[in-house]
Amino acid sequence: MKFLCLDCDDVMEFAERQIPGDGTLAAVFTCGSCGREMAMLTNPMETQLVSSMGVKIGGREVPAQPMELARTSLEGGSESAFALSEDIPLPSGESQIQGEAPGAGEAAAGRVVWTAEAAGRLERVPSFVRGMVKRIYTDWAREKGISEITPDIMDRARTELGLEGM
Amino acid sequence: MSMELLQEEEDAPLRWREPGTGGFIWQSTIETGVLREFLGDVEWGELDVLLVDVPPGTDKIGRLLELIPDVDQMLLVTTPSETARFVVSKSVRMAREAAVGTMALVSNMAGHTCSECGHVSELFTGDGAKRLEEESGVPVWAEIPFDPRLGAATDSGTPLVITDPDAHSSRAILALADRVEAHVGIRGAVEGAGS
Repeated sequence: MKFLCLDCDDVMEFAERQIPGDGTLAAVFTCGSCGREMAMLTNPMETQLVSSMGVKIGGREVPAQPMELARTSLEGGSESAFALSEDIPLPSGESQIQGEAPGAGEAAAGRVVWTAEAAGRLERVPSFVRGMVKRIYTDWAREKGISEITPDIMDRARTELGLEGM
Repeated sequence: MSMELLQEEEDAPLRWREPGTGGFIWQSTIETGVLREFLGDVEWGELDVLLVDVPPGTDKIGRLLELIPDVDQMLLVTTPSETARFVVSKSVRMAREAAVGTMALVSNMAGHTCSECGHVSELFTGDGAKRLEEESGVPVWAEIPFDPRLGAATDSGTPLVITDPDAHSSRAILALADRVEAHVGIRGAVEGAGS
């Protein structure tokens, strides 16, 4: 779906997305030629419908996560089923929470460490998406060459990735 | 793989996060999306066979066929009852229109086996499965009698085909496995599962 600026006959570009947290969604689109702006508002039902179809308004900031729809849509999902299990061998470069620090050799292999403060903040994320959110932050940090995730780093990642509410 | 594995509480019904009304609008969309994730996101490893157990109803079959258009084989489970024949005939037509590679019928609860004498008595007066075979040309690959021990064995975690492979129902199931195996060529896998 695209929006067209009738005066310029140009496709409007996605500019901003806001998710207030009440199920509604607002997306702003701008005409690249004349600068005209328009906003699209969806009510909770419309937001859910669009989300269920896998549509990411404005495009994706982060890659699709495994079982993303199941994690975010299932009512009463098991925390253990959706968490990153410590029993499962992590791929090379996976993150560790501080206090579970890897050996020196592993640290050199590009692992990302979470400070206790950052881990505490991660605990506030709903359990059914916590593992997915952790992975998103970790992947972002690794991509940026960051070896330690702090609350400040989380803020930076959230801004860059557009992770409202995470 | 099952949604059951993802739920916190054993008796929790399957529910999706959605506004209080109008859930029917996107329920199908979410279920199809999650089924797609099951197929695409689970690390299945190298499979001999991917067996998808679909609930009754043509809508579920339709969703599966959209996601896996080249299903190799479909077993349509019916009973000898006329009502079941009527319902399953719709699934036969849907699968045929989707050009499923091989279709076969399984007649479940085809008689009851007496645990004392082994006598088989009919549970249904109809002959639905055989009628469906004649009308559609889809062969009946197995007629599995109702056997209370099947349920008990399932509850105990050990299939009856293991504990009593000579039981009438076990023999029917094993014969069905042979038919499936002959079609898709999984001899090693079936033997491994039974050992």
